[in-house]
Amino acid sequence: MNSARACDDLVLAVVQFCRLLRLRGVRLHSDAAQTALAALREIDVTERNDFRTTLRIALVQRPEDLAPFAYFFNLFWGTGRPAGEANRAADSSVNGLSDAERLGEATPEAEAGAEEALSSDAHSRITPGREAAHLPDDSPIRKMKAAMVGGGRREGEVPGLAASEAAELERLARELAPILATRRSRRWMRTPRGSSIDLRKALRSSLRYGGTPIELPRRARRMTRTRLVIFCDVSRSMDEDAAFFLRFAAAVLRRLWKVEVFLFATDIVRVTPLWLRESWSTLLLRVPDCGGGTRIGACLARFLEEHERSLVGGDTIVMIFSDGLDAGDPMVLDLALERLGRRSRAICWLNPLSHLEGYEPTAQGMAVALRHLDVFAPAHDLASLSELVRDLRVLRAA
Amino acid sequence: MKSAQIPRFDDQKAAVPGPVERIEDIESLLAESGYVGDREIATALFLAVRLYRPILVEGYAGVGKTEIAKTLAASLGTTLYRLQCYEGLDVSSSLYEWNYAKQMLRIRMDEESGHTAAEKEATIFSEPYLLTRPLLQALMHTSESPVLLVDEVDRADEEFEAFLLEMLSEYQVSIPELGVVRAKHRPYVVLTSNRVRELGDALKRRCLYLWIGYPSLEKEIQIIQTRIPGIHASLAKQIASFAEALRKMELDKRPGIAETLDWGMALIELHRAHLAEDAVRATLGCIVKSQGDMERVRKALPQLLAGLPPAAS
Repeated sequence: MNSARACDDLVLAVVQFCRLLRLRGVRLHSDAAQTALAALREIDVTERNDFRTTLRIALVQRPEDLAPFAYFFNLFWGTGRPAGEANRAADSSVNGLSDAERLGEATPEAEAGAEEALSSDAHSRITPGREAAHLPDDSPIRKMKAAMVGGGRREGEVPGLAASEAAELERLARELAPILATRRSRRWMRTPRGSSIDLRKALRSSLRYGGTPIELPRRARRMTRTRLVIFCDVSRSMDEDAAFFLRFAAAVLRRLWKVEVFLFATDIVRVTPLWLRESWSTLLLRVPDCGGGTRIGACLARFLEEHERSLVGGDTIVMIFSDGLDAGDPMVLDLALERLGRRSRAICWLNPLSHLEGYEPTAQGMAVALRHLDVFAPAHDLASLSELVRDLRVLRAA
Repeated sequence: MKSAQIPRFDDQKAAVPGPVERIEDIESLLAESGYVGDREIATALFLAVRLYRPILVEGYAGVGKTEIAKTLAASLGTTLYRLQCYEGLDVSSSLYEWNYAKQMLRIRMDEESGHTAAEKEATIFSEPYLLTRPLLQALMHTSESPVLLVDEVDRADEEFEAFLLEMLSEYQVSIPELGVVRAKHRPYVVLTSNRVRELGDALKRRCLYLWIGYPSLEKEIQIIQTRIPGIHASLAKQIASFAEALRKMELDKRPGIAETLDWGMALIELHRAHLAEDAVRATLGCIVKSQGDMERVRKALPQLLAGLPPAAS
């Protein structure tokens, strides 16, 4: 009777542990608890190390979760040892901790960091005025931006385009849409005009003629549809550039099948369903901008949390339109872009500052982001847009 | 100094594999096969064997993911079937394909024979005309449970993942012309991934998960000494320390264990007992694999050599 009781207690404990992990952001699959229990049946649960290893093998799915798992395991099941020693034991037991930055060592500092990262309060902490703080005071870029923006958010107007410019914009959009829309997959499909012969079908149909392959069905590589996800920075400094770019994006969007548009400043909002229906000013009002600087990394991380699985796949092209002046932690941006890059086909970063003379992508956000990007271009006027179209054509051919 | 004898897996005969009852059994089997692992890896393999679940091994390139599958097969005394994945891998390259040329020849030869069409069809769609690929070979293996290694599954696309998932849940496939092929003994499946692409959740849910990082200094020394038996202990220590220092640098491709072992063998072939600057420069291509990386390492060479433990005489 006692052992049955103990069994039930263990089952309950494991289920509760899984719930704790899920609550704290560790990704578990839906039948994780069952897998864990099936595995625990095979080992001696009184051996602490084996117990922990078994739970880890059954529950954890990604290396990023190894450190949080170690931390919460100690928290939940107790350390069985004095505190400092237990942390070091957790360190050494997590396989592969020699790559400390990637996996996040379970040191006390990192534990505090993990705690912070997992709590949802992290997003709302805003330090005012840090956006421009990254640039030295007399940098020419800062002066140019000051001249361009002229202070204060402009309400309501989309900068008007002359008729010829609007026509040019439409033309570029028409050119760009088919480039982005499809890509050549490596799988085969039957088509009458294909480049190579489909032997299987040829053999099958030759049976009709007694074994002589009279018909030669052909096959070619399949075309699949890509999805486009656009992130547009609509913070104060980006105002008019964003407006211009979004007009272009609207023209492209009308011609593509699967496009998602997100606007962000200090937080990120999905505007795809409202995109073509609402006016610019209404859309802007939906994006929370509490002042104090764009937090690109945090916004992208938030997007990944909510939409990663549904929206980003092997066929997705990601376009980020932002000047890269990030007031948040550059490590967050680095991790978010890495995750995004692993999931998607290509990341394009359009930076309206990059056409300014003497601009070097040394601002913290931009410098960190550069190594994840496939295309880095300005997109502030029509000439740069046509260059962008050219770049993307090259990208698609690759 | 004679050149090293590297134990090869096909030469090894594992001890008679008894039933796997405890983790220690797997540990001793691994040790006999010359695989330097630790309790974590042994536990993962133990659970995979006992629960008959596939195991997903993730890690950087060159840390020994493929070796695990080979070791498992050698330890359990079964056959290893290996499927190397790439983008566009589909059923005909992974499961089976008919030998069209042979079939067409047979049809031509049978033209005058007077068989009915049904008989001809039965002849050409039979096992001698079937080219089996690794997945089907693993299913058709009848003597005992084989080990199926699906290598670098993240390089295949999502459609292949869906197909693999279907196969892993039922361990049977249906070939339209032949019928349903059911595995007599469920294979032990090992999937490896380099984390280039994120795998689908359904596939991950099916598998147990094992992450293999770069080894610690002591472990790497142990691996070098096990796999290169003739090597000096101090040279092994120096090689491992150098590799560890390289991994801390910003390189395009960090060296894995495979590179370290190559380097050790190269140094032995050159009859070196310790790391000196000329030896390192000559053999740098074993451990560093790109032009940019070579420049960086050459520039940092004096500091790296200074940080090594001293060579024993």
